[in-house]
Amino acid sequence: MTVDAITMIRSGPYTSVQDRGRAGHQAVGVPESGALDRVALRLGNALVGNPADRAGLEICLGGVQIAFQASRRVALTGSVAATMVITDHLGHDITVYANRSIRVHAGQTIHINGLSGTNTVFLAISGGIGTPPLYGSRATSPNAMIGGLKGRLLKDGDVLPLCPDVAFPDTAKGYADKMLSDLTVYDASSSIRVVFGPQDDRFTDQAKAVFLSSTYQVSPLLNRMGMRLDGPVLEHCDNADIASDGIVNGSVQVPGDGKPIILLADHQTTGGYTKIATVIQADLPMLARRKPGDSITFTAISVEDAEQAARDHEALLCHAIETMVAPPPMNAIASPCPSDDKSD
Amino acid sequence: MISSNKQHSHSGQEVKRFLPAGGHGLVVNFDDTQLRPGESKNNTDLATRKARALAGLIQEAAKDGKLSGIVDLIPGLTNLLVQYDPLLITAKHLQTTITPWLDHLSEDSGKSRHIRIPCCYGGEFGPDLEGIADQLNLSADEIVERHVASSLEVAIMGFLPGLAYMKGVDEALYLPRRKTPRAMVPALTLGIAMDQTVVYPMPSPGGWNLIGRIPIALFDPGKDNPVLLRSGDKIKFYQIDIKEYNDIYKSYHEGQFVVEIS
Repeated sequence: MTVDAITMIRSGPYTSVQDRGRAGHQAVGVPESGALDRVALRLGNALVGNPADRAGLEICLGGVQIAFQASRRVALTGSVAATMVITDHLGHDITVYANRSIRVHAGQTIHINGLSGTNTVFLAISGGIGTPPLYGSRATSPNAMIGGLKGRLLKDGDVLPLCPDVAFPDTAKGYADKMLSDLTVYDASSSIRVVFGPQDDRFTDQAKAVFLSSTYQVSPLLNRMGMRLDGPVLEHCDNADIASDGIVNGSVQVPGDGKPIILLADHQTTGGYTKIATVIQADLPMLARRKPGDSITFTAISVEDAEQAARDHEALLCHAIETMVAPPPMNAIASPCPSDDKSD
Repeated sequence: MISSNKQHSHSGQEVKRFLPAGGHGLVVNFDDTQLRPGESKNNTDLATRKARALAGLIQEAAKDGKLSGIVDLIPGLTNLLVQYDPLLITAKHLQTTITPWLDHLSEDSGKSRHIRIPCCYGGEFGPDLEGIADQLNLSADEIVERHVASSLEVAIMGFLPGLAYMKGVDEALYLPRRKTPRAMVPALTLGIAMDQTVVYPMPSPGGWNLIGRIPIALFDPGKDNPVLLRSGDKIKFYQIDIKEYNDIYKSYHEGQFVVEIS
């Protein structure tokens, strides 16, 4: 019996298998990793009927074409404006907006090119991607060379196995597709909220004021490990070195050159540079959507407010999932195609 | 009652015990132990051990269901980072729970494993050995002798899966890291800098002074327990030549070679 699979006809420059990550092993140097945009991950899995722990494709920079060798429900998330094009075996194209699920049949392909208004989108597939898990997660961490397919970003021609499809079944009446009716969870503010610390006392008062009053730009040196910022430098009291200690997602590290780097999902577990502040958990998905050249300002809040923001954000996300509705019918697309008629 | 967040070190400087890392991380700081007079050399080790001991207590409490929402624990050289889920616990609650434990943290390293690791020094495996010999005014052989004689202890793990920061390198070998890091260091290369030794578990950029290579894996995702070393382990390296390296490499990958752990 063959395993259901998809083939990356074009992988795009920065596409990887991601899920919720493998937190719990950072004490032995294993990075947490996982999707940059956890909102997109949660919504995508919900739209295709997956449990929240399933792996899908994180697509940064677009340029992706995927051939399906199995019939699966898919959903693109991470932006209110992104689209994908599904091409059937007769060559008919249909454009599908983000934030709804749709069934793709064996023999059909999906194109995801430009990403409107975001740096990263997520493609959820019912059943989820079935590459071998490590520490219970399939998340790819290219620097640590673990997870996903052979611990690396995807390449043209890669074949990805799929887990058995346990998603909600289609009924006699039609496909059980879903769409979001409430998109407020995507609302973005210009300002990213931070909590000062853990080493803010290693910076001058002026540096802290500059950090909050300046507009920074996302540097082109952006990857899954960190987001470098261009803008005013932040002055240390003495130097930038600390005894190596742990890092969380969102740590704003400032090395000796005074230029802040926000550490993201694939950050190393420990580091030896001062961290002036930490981006709050609720704002990390919104941060991950920023593209090189986008502006960022920072607002400082208390720990208690940061924890409250996480609870509020979770409530928004749960509401978005609870209020999913059946989408309006799509234009006709040939289905199922002959190759879907499997005999194994 | 919550005890104060401020602790006075022995030198009188005020040290904050708890530091925030957003609303999802709490740093428990033992930096004050560094400031004890007359203990300049060993007190970082003391802070490292306290952080490790606290991680053990929190892990146990989480396992017993006494503490919920602990996402991860990352011991650093002088502090412990507790990563928590703000949907399940707050920093305030966490602080209140662990504060009474702080006065009873074990300062010794407890039961340590003793591990002997073979290393082939110099040549293409240790491209910096000859260069640092000039810098240190020692012969390459003397450097190797002093390195194998050093009793090392894994202070913390980090940077890459399975990478151990091993402290206790002979003082005669103290060197800074290279001014310009190498773009790529081959897997399992051994480097020294300051009072420490690392072995890169996988190919990586790196700035340490490279003096040898080991024939056994530090991180093997195919194993039930992929990571060989852990914090607190006592490590001794022993010298092997290139023939022994090749033999051990072969036998290790055939599943024959057993690492000496006692």
